[in-house]
Amino acid sequence: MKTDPTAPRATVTIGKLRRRHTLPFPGEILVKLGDTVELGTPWARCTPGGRTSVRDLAGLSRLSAARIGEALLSREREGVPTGDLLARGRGTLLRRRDWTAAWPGAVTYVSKISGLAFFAESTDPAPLYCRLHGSVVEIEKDKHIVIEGDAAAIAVALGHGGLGFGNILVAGEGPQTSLPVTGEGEASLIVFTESLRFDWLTAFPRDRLAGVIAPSVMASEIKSRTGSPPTHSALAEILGEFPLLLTEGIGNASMPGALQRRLRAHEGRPASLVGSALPGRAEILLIQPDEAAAVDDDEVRLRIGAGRFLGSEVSLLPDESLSRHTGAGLLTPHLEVRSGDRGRLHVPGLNLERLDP
Amino acid sequence: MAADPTDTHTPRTSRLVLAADIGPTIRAAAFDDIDSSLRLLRVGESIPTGGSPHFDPEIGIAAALSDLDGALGAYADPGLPTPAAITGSRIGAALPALVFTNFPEPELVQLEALLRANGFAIAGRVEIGSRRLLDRHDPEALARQILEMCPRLVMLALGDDTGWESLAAFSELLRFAVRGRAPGYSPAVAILYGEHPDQSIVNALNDAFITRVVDIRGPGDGFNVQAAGGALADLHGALVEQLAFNGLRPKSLSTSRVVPLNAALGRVARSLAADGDLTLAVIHVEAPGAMIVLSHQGTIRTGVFGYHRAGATVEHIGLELDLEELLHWVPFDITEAEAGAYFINRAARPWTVPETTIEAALEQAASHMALRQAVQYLGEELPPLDLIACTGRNLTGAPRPVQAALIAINACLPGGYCQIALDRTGALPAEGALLAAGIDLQPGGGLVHLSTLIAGVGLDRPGRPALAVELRADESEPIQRQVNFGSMDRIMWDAANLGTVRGWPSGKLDIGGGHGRATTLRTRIAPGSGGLIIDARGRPIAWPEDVTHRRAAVLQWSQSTDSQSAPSPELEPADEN
Repeated sequence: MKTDPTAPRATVTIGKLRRRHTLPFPGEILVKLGDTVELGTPWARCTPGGRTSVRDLAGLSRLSAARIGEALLSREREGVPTGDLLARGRGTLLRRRDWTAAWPGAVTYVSKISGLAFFAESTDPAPLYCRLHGSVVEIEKDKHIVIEGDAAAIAVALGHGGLGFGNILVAGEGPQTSLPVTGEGEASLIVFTESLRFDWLTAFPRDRLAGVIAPSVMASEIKSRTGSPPTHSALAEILGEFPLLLTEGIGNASMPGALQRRLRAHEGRPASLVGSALPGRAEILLIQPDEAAAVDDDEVRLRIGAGRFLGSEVSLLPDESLSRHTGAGLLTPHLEVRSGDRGRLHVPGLNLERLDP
Repeated sequence: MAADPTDTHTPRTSRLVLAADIGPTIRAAAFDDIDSSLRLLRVGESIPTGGSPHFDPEIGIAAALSDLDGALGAYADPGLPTPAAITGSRIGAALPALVFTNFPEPELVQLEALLRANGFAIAGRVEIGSRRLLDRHDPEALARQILEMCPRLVMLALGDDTGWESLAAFSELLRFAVRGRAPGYSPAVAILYGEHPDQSIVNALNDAFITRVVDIRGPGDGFNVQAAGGALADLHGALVEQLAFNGLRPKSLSTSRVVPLNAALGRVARSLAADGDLTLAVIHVEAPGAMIVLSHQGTIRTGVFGYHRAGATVEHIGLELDLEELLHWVPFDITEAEAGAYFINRAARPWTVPETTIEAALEQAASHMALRQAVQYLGEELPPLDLIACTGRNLTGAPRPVQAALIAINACLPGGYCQIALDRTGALPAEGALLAAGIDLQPGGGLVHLSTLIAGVGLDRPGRPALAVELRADESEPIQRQVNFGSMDRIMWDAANLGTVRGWPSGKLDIGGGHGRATTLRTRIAPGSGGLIIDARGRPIAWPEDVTHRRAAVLQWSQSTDSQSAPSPELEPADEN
């Protein structure tokens, strides 16, 4: 039966891109509408809320809510070091009910209605950085900005560890490769083209690694380090806050050739990566990419995005799609593709992704 | 030259109505007025594009509409209308709510129904009792509870509150101990209040959160359900706008009514049950979550699992389940690491389809375990079910329809006789959304009879004869089976004939007539594609202790019901010619 397939999902787009930059915590936006911003420069400063200690001060002091100010030993908004007494509680002989500062901070609010008092840990404002080079085209006060700039966006399967900025540097296979990442210099985004082994990363000085892009990590590699199946928390246990992108996913997949070519063509040039654990958010942004990186032929390059051949690069054959059964028995539209090492295959249209823009 | 009348365009008299179901894929369904009622014509499908590289959901929606347009051909002229309603597991899944309340039980039941009808599910409850909030609870622990759970809605439902003390404490906890503590987390706030609130407290909350305050004192002593429902619908709309569309609703859905998935399925369940005065469950399973909507004695109840956890959306239910327990249900040698890798990859690309028998088995196990959790969310075992209607991509797209039946059976554990139907078109959520949007139609046009189940409730010794069944179909010899305790079996017969089923349980099992009492199903049944499934595994299912026996049991269950696909050694190679 001939059918119209669901068009394979696009994973690369090139041109003027817009990216929304959102304040995750209350903060201050530092740029103005129309400003030109550079990749990796701050666009906002936000202050993550620290730990908060809350006490029913009226209950603690046995004063009415209207009078709890009398129980406080520290003034509102006044900095207090760890261990300082904030309020003396009325307890019994054997049980003191004093309220002390568990960390440096300040009393942020005292309520004369509920009798509650809040003591918040002091935190430093943190800068938020631009993921694109371009201009600010939209600002919503206290919420977000939108930056527009020339870039190539490459959607990846999995992300971890937040943002990374630097020049692209493509490693060979394994740790033996000699990369110019010793000594002084700017941090780079290292690209591995084979399934990542975490011990490769130990070969590089950490301060020279702004992030890692790899096609995949084997489940056994994660299990051997954490004893857990692959999850985002297992990756966090291994990498901490270190940015990592997996273009294909968990497994033994290599990076498709078309993607490798695009990243190699951008070697030594700036990029950012968004190591977001939120599905669909993780991506590589190649700043002001060279359009010539695209191969000039008529082939439609795809990759298999699921199953045992995850990450395999294939070319679409011109035949129409056919409804066929998958190995699991599901009747679904398949496309006919050619793989360099596996010949002609029928793959479900929903499991294919376009590697060309 | 006179035109040949056959060349002229026939004026279209159709009244196309569209609804979109936004889940792992986007499905746009078109309905037309045929014989005075709306019937499903076609469905268009595409992959969502809300994430990288486009970050533009409009592209995916336009692709689904274009696919639908192509499928409809001339029927779509002069152009497709805007979908009247949208729902789905990505856009209309029940949003978790944490409720602080001193409502008495009858009003709590009313409140829960109200939340459910407006797209929320109670994920936690803080009882305030008759005293002030702080008399019963440590304020710091309350703040921690909110931050750990990250509910999308935090509600204060208070009948009375002397001196606004509880209202003030609630507001201050949110403003000074929750706001700005978790990245990007900002819940909506609903206050159903039986007093005149202090305006400065309300203003302060309004400055920090999307807030609605409702005076719940209705006429007489009851609480003002209408006003509360309006406020909750408002908040749900605002949250969906923010969560699903990042604050920018696609133009192609600009006038579409967003219908919570549980409300859509609730409308379907109510409509299907009203026809036959049935006790039925509509079950829906997709990658982000599982839902059961139960219609029993005129009331609708909803159980959910997945969709949202700790402020984030769940991308695949497999990542929320205990993998060790899940692998008990998979009759293959597969490690937790391999199963975890499969689910994390599926979570990254939830629109993909399983290609191998192992992937299908993992998906099937995750589906029924997630659904089982949704059933348990209801808080009590299900009443005897007359009908289970299966919908959602994991069920409608099961490689073999009977796999959907087995998922339903393993999750709902119905006893006695139960019919199972499958929504082959996957249009039930869209139909429910249209009903909720006030468009009259009879849902279930795409439901096909899948199986009939006969199952014994109770426990016996494994291997003992537990259930004898006889099926007498027209124009054929009676088919008899005896099934031992711990096993399953299936009877298939000529699809053209109806059959009468009679069951004889052992003394320890009950199939609806009491322990050991034979019963006959009054309705004559068609085999459907799943036939008559005989389940003698007991209720709850009796599991062999030993791993080898357990795996053998799982294999027996899937093979005897033919719900396991034949192994496929390779991805299908293309024909060379």
